[in-house]
Amino acid sequence: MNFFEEEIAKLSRRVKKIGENPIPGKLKSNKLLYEVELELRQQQLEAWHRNRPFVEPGLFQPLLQALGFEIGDYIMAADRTSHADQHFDTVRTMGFPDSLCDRTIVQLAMLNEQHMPPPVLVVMHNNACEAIKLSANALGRLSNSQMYAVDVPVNAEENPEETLAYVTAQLHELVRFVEARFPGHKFDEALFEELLEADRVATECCRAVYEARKAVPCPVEGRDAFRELRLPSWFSNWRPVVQYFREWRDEMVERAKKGISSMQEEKLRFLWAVSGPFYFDPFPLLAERGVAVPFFHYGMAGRMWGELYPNYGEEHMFGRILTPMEEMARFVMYNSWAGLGHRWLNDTLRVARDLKVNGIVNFIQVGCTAISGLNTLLAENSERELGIPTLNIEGRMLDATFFDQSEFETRMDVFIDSCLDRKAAV
Amino acid sequence: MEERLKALIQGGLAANRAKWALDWKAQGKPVVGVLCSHVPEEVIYAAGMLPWRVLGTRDENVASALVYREARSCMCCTHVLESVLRGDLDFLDGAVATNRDQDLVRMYDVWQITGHTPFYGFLHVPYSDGRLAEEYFSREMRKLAGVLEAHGGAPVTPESLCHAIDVHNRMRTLLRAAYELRKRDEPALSGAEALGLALAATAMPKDLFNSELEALLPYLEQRKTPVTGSGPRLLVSSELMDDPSYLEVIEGTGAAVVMDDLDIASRYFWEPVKTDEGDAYDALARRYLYGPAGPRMWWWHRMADQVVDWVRDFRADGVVLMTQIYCRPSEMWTPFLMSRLKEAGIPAISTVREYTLTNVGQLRTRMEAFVETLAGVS
Repeated sequence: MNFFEEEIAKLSRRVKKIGENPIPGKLKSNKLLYEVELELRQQQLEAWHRNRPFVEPGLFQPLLQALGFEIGDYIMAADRTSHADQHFDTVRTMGFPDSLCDRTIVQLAMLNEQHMPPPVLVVMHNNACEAIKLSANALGRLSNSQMYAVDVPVNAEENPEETLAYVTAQLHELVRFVEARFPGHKFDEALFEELLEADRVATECCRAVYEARKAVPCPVEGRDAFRELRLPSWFSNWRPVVQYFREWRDEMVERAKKGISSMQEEKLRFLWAVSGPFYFDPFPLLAERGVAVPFFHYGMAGRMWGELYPNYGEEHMFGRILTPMEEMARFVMYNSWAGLGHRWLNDTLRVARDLKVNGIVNFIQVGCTAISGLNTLLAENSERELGIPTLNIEGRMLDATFFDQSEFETRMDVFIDSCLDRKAAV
Repeated sequence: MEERLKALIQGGLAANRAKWALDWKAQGKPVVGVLCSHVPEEVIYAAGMLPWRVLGTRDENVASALVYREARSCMCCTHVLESVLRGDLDFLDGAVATNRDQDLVRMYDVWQITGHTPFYGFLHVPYSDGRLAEEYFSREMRKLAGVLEAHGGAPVTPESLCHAIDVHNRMRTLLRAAYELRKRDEPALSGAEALGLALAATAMPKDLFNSELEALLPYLEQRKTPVTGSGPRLLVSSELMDDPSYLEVIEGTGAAVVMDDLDIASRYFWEPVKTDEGDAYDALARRYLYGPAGPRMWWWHRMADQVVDWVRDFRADGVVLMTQIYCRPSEMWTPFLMSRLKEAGIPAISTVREYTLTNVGQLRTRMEAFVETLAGVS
């Protein structure tokens, strides 16, 4: 089975199970989430069968969808694979380094093994990390696709206006590039604006949920903290996705208001950062010790979820309403991972402060080029500025062979004990 | 002249490089550490400062740097940070970095945050090509001039910048002329000597380097390097390889390293700044973006073609790829370069190396096997 077929089977089981026997206490909106995900995979499978053109969109999926492409979520597909071991073997056979960030190299194996359709266009970008940029380059070459590189300055904060103009100009050039090389693909500006509006609504919901996360007891349950929600523009049928975001927001806000939590007594709360072991559930251990994890902080989290950066249509920072293309450019200027080190350090501390956490679990993904070199600084800064400790723990998100459960649990236990002692001392 | 040549080569080696910076400072002039081959040295020179390429410590003990850096990250950056944290680079008045790759950015972050140098400059170097990238990079260079001027540099005027470009172009012309002499059946320079010369150019005041190499060129034209044997001719490709002893190991097998694809050697000087193309900053931007590039850029196909062209121009029998472990751009590019070389019918071997020369026996054995294979082919 290819990736889409596997996802269809998995999501069909979930939809059936949740319909027949919903688990009390779980979010009701999960049903709609699984339904829209299922529909997306069915549409993608059909599009592959029909030889529709897939694109690796970078983070410009509203623009690429408005240019008539099927959106391929190659890296996010890697996050969801159940064949990581097999893919790592393939990565090695292909000559790629297996020590680079899991998701970025596994996507290459998935393409090579025909788990995913080859893209006809890869839009590279450097607004997340080196690994994503390099693997996109490899993805384009493996699939013999057309390639376009969008360059986002690392030091965007120094010259926001200039950066905005530079990135915007590249996006206009990308449109011309596509229209010249792909006959029949014309930019649908109305659709582009509609998709941005759908994403804006979804992001507003995320922000409301971010506020809800501040509530004690924590309304977020276990692995829901890790939930990687995709904005509506990743979906060809995006309208039900907007509805999902609304339902999910309403539920989370209601939980926060009513003090609903799966935890009997919240003794501590941690911010979880960077990545996590996707093959192992650390949350029962944390819940057992009374530790809530209200938030998972990663590169785009500050833009998606929080107040760190402006949402579509907001005037602050540039003092004016931006054009839709400028909005698309602004969206990619604020990845916390992509700037100079201050950006990640400051954004992480800001979230930790916002959510009043007692500690930070900084899961250092092996081969993560974005945060490599910043982890000691993060620990030093969190201690100095917020008086909270950081647990720097190295691991891999997909490669389970790297994982030592007993060591992980021991380190987590010691960290929890230390945080409880500190809290008691205060 | 042989002694003079050796002295010039020795001047570029890690152990001897600080001398040039200290001599410069003794004249009351500032020294700026350069962390990447995309930094336009001309702008620093025009500001009356010495652009001095930073290398990492050769000490294998990098414990101080590992407090900050993960073990699985670019070892060159780790060794540079070790030098910084130990105070080996305290003589620098400033440091200029780029986003050559994210590892360098993160090393620069630690350097800057731990505060070991009076001032810092940072240039965003696009990894894309085209007019927009050129214009943006040109503006970044102008800003760098402003940073230098604000920290004790002389005003960078159109005249001083044009003069700096002339001096640096002269350096490029001279080094390229020396490299041309490696095309002969009996190369004038070994690979290790050629890398040593290029390294000297990155540490010495350019005028002094130029006068030395200019004086040596007639001698080089009749010289046959005593180092290389009669074995196959090789091109060596790597990033951040600033230790000629790697090439000595290869040449110790009897092979002749007749060309390199190194960011700190051939790619450092290969193309001149084309001054007839209008504004000096724009010309610099084009030179430092395109000529020739490394795997941080998106156009891997053009880079691989460049290597193939060099193989043919220098009549190399094979290519040795020496990927520095955890140098992510190199690691990801290597399969494509290997594939392109195979397509072109060029024998190649891919090896992984540390920053400092280690595992010599293993490297020598692999090189001997490769050289024997090539001998069998020819």
